[in-house]
Amino acid sequence: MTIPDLETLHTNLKNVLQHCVQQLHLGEVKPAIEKILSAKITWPELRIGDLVARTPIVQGGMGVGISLSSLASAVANVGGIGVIAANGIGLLEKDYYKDGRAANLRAFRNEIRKARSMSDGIIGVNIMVAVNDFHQLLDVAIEEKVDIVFLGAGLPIKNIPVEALRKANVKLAPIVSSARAAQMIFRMWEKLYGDTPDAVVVEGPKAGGHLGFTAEQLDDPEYQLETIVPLVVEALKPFEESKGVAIPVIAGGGVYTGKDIYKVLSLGASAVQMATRFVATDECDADIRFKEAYVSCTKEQIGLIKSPVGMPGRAIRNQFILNSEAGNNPSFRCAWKCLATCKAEQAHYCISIALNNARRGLLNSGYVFAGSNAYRVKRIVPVATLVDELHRGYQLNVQVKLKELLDTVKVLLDAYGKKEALLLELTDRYEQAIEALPSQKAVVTALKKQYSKLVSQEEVLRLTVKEKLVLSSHLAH
Amino acid sequence: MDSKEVFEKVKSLIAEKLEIDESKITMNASFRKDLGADSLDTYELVYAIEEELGISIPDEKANEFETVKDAVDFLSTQL
Repeated sequence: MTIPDLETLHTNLKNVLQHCVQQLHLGEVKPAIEKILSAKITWPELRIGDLVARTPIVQGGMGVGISLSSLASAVANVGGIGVIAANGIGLLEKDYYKDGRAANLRAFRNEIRKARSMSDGIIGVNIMVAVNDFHQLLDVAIEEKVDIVFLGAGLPIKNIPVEALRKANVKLAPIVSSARAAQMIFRMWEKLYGDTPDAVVVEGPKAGGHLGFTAEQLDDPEYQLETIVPLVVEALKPFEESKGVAIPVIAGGGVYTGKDIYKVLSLGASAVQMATRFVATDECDADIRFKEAYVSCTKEQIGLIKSPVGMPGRAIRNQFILNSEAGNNPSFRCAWKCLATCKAEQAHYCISIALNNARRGLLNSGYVFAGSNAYRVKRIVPVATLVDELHRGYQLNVQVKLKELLDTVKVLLDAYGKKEALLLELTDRYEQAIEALPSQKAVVTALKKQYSKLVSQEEVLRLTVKEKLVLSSHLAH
Repeated sequence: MDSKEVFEKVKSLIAEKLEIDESKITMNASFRKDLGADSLDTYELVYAIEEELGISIPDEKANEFETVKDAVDFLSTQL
């Protein structure tokens, strides 16, 4: 290797090292990590079109009369979406048995107005597609300009007043239990209305109340929330692309802690729907005995019922349920056949009335719908306290995840530091080698001298030989 | 259209939508129990029948279709 070669190599090495250091901004990485770790972690906003909830929690609609204006406005006041359940709401009125339909519409309108008077936040309603007054209830929601309607218990496809909803700027979110149902609703909406719903609620099998699953599906891993959420998110992508807007997925059913919220959001959901936890709040519209049933129930008491409406439901199984299953129930009365497919005669009770009795605290004349985690409820707290607790749990989990990520960065940094030291050491050795060169240089110079001498000697020799040869040839002639 | 013609039309739609063999589809077959249709299948099927036959089936009627015969009987009165 020649001296210029070595010098070029050394310069190149120095350049490479400098480049590495500049690219990584090593000096800035560590403070950046500290900054991330100390940053305030807040809820991600839930955006449904122009509707923005600063707390990504939708309070699940709970009928009969469990989530009315008091609970809905309390949730709206802490930045979430409060939801009034329309189902059987007319039971609040005195004339339900005389004119169930009129009572429902009147009570529904009253509760929406009351909620509006108690909160400037986001108020939604939950209406069951299957009930006979579905369209009239939906009209009331549009007239009262609620912020969003959640439509479950059936597919909201046919005869949806999409134009009126858009005109009143009322958002619509179907409640589904599979990607297939979401896909069908969106496909049909595109076909029928050239429009799509604004968000989707996906409810897993751990939810309370009526469930969109068969009894066999409830424990099947294929139907669990953590499996279906990513599928629903994926199924909506083409519609998001064609419409050019985000269609948020709101996931519920068994979401209990801030950690659960973190998990569901990391599956691709934009918000959670929670109901069970909101029962155990001061603001929940049910009687205190209803709420206390949550506090005192055991895991074993929470189970399934075969609802008169033909779907499985999750409830705290009490004597009323056992009696009805044994076929000996008190007198049965149907006010106005509110659901075409209801099999109340076979069950010997009206579920709306049973649930309304429970709402009033009359737990012997009805029963309490509950999510699979209701047994974990320990006390009744204000909504704001509950949401704070959830927020802290969420923050903690984000912090843990962040720390995990930053620890990985630190490990990489350490590895880089070691490589850097090695590079510096190598450079040192090259420098030493170059410093050591002068002595070798002398040798080379000496050799060079010797060589030149030899070369010149050889030339002399060659010339001499040539001379001799010429001379010889002359002599030969 | 008599009920035999309606049955033939409905049969091919059921076979296509539920991806089952036409031979399984009899008048007495139950959509849910015998043909394995869930509520979403039923919805899709009703929509396909509406499109194919150019009629409208009210939801409350569609909900009452337990067997193929129920559907065929209703459709025969409409066509």
